[in-house]
Amino acid sequence: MKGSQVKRLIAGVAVTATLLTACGANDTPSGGTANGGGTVKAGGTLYILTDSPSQQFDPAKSSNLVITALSLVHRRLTSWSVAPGKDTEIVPDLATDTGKASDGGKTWTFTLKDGLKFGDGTPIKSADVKWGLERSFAPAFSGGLTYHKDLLSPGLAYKGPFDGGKELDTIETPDDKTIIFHLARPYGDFNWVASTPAFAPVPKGKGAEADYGNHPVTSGPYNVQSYERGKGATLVRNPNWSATEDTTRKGYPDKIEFQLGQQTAVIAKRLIDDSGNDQTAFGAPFVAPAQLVQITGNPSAKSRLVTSESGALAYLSLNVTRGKLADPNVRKAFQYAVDKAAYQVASAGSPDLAGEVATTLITPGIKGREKFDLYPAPPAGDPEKAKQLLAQAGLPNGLDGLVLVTRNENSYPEKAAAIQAGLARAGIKVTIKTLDTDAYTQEVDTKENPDYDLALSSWQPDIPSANANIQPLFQSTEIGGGGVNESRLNDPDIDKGIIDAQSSVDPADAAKKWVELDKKLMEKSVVVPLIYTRNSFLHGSKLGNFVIGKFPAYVDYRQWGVIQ
Amino acid sequence: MRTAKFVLTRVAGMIIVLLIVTFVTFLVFYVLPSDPAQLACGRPCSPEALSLAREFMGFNVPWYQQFLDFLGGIFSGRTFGTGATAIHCTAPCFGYDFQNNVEVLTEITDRIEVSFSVAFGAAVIWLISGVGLGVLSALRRGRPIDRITMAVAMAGVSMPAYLAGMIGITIFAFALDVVPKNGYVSITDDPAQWAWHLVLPWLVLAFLHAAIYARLTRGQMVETLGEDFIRTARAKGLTETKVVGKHALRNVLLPVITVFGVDLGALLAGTVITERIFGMAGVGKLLVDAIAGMNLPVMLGVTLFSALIVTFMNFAVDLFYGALDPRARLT
Amino acid sequence: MSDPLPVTPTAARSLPAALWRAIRSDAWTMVCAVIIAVIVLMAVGADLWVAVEGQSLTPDIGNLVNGVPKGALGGVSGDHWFGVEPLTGIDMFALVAHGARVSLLVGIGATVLATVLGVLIGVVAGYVGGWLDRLVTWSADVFLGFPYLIFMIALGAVTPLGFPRQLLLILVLGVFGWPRIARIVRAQTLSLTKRNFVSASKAMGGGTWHVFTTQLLPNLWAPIIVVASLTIPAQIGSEAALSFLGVGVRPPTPSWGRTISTAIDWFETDPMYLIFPGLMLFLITLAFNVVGDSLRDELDPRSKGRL
Repeated sequence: MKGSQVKRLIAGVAVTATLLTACGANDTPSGGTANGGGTVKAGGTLYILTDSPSQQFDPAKSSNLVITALSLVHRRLTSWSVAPGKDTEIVPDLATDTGKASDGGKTWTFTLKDGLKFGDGTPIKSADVKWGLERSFAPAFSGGLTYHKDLLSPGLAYKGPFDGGKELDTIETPDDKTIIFHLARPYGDFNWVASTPAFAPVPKGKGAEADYGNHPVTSGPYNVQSYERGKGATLVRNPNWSATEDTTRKGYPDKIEFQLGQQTAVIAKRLIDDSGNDQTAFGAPFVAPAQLVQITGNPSAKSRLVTSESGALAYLSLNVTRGKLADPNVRKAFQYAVDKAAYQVASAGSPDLAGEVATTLITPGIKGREKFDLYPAPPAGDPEKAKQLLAQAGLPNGLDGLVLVTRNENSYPEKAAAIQAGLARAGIKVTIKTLDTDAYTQEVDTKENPDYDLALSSWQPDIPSANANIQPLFQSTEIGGGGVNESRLNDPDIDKGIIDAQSSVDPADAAKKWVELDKKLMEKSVVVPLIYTRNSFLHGSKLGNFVIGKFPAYVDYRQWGVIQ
Repeated sequence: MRTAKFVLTRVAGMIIVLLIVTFVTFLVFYVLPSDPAQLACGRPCSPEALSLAREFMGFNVPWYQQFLDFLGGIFSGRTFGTGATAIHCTAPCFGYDFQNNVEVLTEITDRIEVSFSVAFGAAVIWLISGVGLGVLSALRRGRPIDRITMAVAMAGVSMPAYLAGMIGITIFAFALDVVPKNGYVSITDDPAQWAWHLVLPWLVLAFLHAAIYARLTRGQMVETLGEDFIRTARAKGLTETKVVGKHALRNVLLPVITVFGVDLGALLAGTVITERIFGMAGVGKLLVDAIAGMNLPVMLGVTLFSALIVTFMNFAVDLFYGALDPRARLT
Repeated sequence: MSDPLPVTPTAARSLPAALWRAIRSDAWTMVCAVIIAVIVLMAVGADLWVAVEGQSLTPDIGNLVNGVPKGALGGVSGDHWFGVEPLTGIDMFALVAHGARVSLLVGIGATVLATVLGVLIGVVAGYVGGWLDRLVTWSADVFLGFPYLIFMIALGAVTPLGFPRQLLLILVLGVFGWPRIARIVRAQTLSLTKRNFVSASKAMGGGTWHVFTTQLLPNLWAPIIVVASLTIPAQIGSEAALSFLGVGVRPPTPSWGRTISTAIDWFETDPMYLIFPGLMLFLITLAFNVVGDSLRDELDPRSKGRL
């Protein structure tokens, strides 16, 4: 998980739109029937309006979550079952089960279901899954999620199967149904990794062309009928996909049309208007705060707004290598000084739309998460208590001259101002420095010795495992070099705990270990959790079954349909 | 002979300007604190993966080599990677957009219709209305029509494009609901809808620019009308229409054309703000998106392309000027 | 190419007197001069006025209901003269007043830089002549032909973070602004050097610097001031445009352009958010244009009505 940057997922809707095709739609707990009578049935055309100029259907290059656009076209070895109010579970997709670990978690075996077929009618074999993975190692097809790469080929010694490249010998396919992975080290979450895009099958020998994503050989409910970058993509039914066999996808709409390169504000206006084809349209970008306010005052639009119950962890990192921040007692004062209520307002106008106040590092919806609060205080904080703590730590006059860095997008400057004002109440004076996304990565995540005391950011795991909450943010290997250990914590005890938890193949045992780490980290007070950021999406009046699970905070594209 | 020499000198100058622009732009992007390979690296991005991505994209060689590769690509195309998975960028190759998997030039030509439609339509309106109002003001000097025209012109010059755009949209698209709120329809799909969707941007841009032409025309006209040859023409008994239309206007057009060429070039090169306000995906939007996503090849390609257009427009103006006023060729 | 801004040299008139005459020439110019004075005062004493108002740049969600300003008209009241900003509750008057400081600083700074560069380069080119003159003329063409806004956007994205943003804007806008001024100054210098008094001074053995300071500069003042006064509004507009596009002044430093950019998304729910910074930007640009225009008419009556 070196240098994980999942944060970017959340970091900027506009900026990361291309990476971000993961973002989806949602309707909270309702599901099933919808407002206007009628029910969601198979048939009809669903429109997806997105600001992104392109939609990546090449599994090797995609970083899509298992529940969004890529899932319409490709299946993977495993998948997720998401539902409101429930922790996300792992379920089989192409495989018959969610994988069997042996050799202490170093070897994983999956068996494919019977009768699987590609969109072109040819059978899906284990060698095709292997080929898809091998293909993802070719430099020409980089850009997707890479969690599997270091486990299967440490140091990326393997360069892909093209141009006389050999097979990847850490993947074994003894027969057409069986696929065995030999990992470099024990990894209890490998079955979750098997739900990332590169685990979609690509017919062996195919996909050498750069634009494979424009006409992929599919395994999901839809084929890509046409694709025009910057304009749109049309998905039509894949006759070789069976709804009875694939229980993770409903595949209701007959046709799905992507309208690419739309402006975010225009999308919101069209959906608020709700006329013509837009009645069966869904806006992929998050609804911006300005529009949220407008929608709240419009009963029709409000009924079509779906907000997740949880989401990415917004947090303030305290750089433990800097001056007084090296002292945990000083850092604890920050837990009380921060004004999380103001942060909620700056994020989306109200706590309901912004998301619950966060007190733990593991986000809701992750199995085994434990809710606790080591620093109880009202949402607006407790500046008196913070002052007291600072005085006890030998800082009766507070702290001065701290630098807070954040991104210059997505209301981060406004949110940073809310943090700044909150800290000022406890005598902690902060200067805000805003950086463009790329500069942020370079200055904060890449440099050896960056100049900041506090960093404001947010993090959403790529897979629903506490591993993906904790490891990228706190392991010492993630300091600099593109890693996002922004509190620059280098703690052998934590490191050991992470390796230990990662190696555990018993989910219950692993979960316990991650919760312990969560508590330890909060005791050390290396970051201040702020809120679990909710995402809001808007859709037309004739669409239903908008489900957003507890994790991730995106609409499940597999379940929605047209009301008729 | 002289004309040929004039044209040749200008062409040579244009090429040198473009080379300098290319070089400077390239250097600026080279010192960028960002790494274009980072975005193509995947997530999580290991150092090994990053260096592989760099190598594939041709960023692993020294900067002068990259510059020469880039220049070479314009004339003979480029190939990234090797063997079955190689990506070919045919000449003239202005770079390859690895994020969206397409040649930069293709992206530009895909969107140029939008930018050209906005720019040319607006230019026609502002040229006609600006010059027309300018002549009218000059002929009715000091009268109300002159004063109103000049006051409106002053407001137009002082108004930021995005404010004028917002006000235009608010009044005409939202309050009165008489024109489309945003979007673009290709002229090949539906010419009527094309024009209808462009009416508002045209009028807003024309309002902002026409001011300059009205003032320029008026000033030149006032001056010209006082000159001897006009008096002579009047004395010969020519009608006022003929005097103004044939003799005076011709004299006025020279500086107007100069400014027009430069303005049009600048507008063609990037209607960044107009496109943002009116929600249209032209070259300006391409650039803004590229900047937001740190898509270096596209930033470089669009900058050069814009420089090419601006330089070419200046060149065209010079030629036109030379044709209209032979004395200009000597300088 | 002819210059769109020709100004003929005038006998050394007193500039303050000319400015005063220009301002008094009509009521319209007078109003605009007052607007400039008010906005300049607002910028210079921003901290004082905001203190008088009893507010600061500190966010306060107590001013908001569900993220939007409490009360009608974007929260305009005796406490908040221009209302408050949505989501943060920051006082809009504080934002606008401090934003004026940035706008004027960059606008005037860039103009001064462009003028100094333009005058030096223009005078040298016109006075020395020959290949140097050709080089200058040609470089000016390069600069004018450059798609500078686009280049600026790129440059804004690449400069090191430690570098102050306002200074960067001044530098870039100033450096791209010199050719216009240099062209005019060069033309003036050329015509002046042909005149007797300059030739005489040269013949009497006056050094280049001596000729420049005693003979050329006094006669160049008028056109320089006119061009400069019309450059300020253009530069203010450029700063706002760049901040509007997100490559100018960075938050949390207040900037009209950036506030306008955010406010556009809020126009339907909170129009006042856009109106104050938008109006200010329009007024200051208009006022500088009108006063600069009158000043030119005053210094060079022949140019009346030109831009």
